[in-house]
Amino acid sequence: MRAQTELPAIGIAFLLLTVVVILVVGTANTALTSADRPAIEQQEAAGLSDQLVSQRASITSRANVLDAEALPALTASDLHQEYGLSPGHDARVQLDGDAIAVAGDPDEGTTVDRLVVVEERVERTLQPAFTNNRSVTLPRRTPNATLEIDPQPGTVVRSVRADDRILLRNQSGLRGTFDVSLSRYETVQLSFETAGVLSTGDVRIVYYPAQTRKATLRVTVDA
Amino acid sequence: MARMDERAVSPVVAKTLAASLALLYVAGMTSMLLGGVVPSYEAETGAELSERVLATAAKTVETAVPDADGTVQATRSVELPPTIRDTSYRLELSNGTLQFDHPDDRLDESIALSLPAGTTLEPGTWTSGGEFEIRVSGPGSNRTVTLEQ
Repeated sequence: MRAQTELPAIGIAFLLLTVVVILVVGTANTALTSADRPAIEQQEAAGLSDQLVSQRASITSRANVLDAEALPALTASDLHQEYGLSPGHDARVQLDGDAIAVAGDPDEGTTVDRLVVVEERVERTLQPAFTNNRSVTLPRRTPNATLEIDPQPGTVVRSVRADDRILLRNQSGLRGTFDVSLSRYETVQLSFETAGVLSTGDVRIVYYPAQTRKATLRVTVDA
Repeated sequence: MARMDERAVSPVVAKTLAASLALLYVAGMTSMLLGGVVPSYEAETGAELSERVLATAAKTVETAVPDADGTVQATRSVELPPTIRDTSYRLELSNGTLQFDHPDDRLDESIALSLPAGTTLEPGTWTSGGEFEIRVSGPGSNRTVTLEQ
């Protein structure tokens, strides 16, 4: 009789042990699943968003500044070829919630948000009045400008300078339309050297200042 | 005398029974854990680790190539695990992608590198054990990325 008590004791011990093992395996399982991170997907999303806003990208005018005119040209195959999205991975690029390029059909996935500036060139026209002077300061910076010089008879425009740099020069007189490139980094004063008087309408300047707005570029990659 | 013999049998049988039951239980548990649970855990952690190794290596290559203009001459290195699932592995750089190559083919992965236009990747293979080292050289329009072996 005495020996028989051992079997139930062993049974209870095994039961306890089994419970402990199940608990341990369960804990290990939870730890393992919670440590599961889509490392490749994250790296890909970060790399893709980095390249999209780099100064060498074809959709940017400089680092972190997107060129609004180049944005519609971004296609899904650009993402694969130019920006290094792995073949077979899906991605979506959104600007303030509007999709600008979608490769495949991304569902869930990893998302990287970046703050960017969207730059748009707007056309402005200036007709200086030339009262008391023969120079004009462009109110906004511009990378290039178009000058239309059409002086009245008897007036000869010999040269045009941007600050101290000579842009156009012709001793016998400048007349017509000229495209000039200017410094993007400083405000420019255009000075006209003339023989005779300049008045309103003799010179028309078309320039292209940048209009910028902040936006969020959202890159989603689904590996 | 005969009764004394008989008396001794019952505890011996009971003890033997208990001992063999315990042995059986331990053997069963061990084979269940090692046969079913542990290998799947090993495979899972191996896959996770290889993904992270590949992502880390890709990040190292991508950050080594600067965005700015001008000529660069730079090396960048990162410490990667010498073995995964007890075997050494290789990282192959070729044709715009970085590939993770392990004797266990289930762990193989590849990732396309996001690099500035005009970057040339010198094909190469790195075998785990030392530091993963990347060398970048050349002017802004034509950079060359080499894997130190």
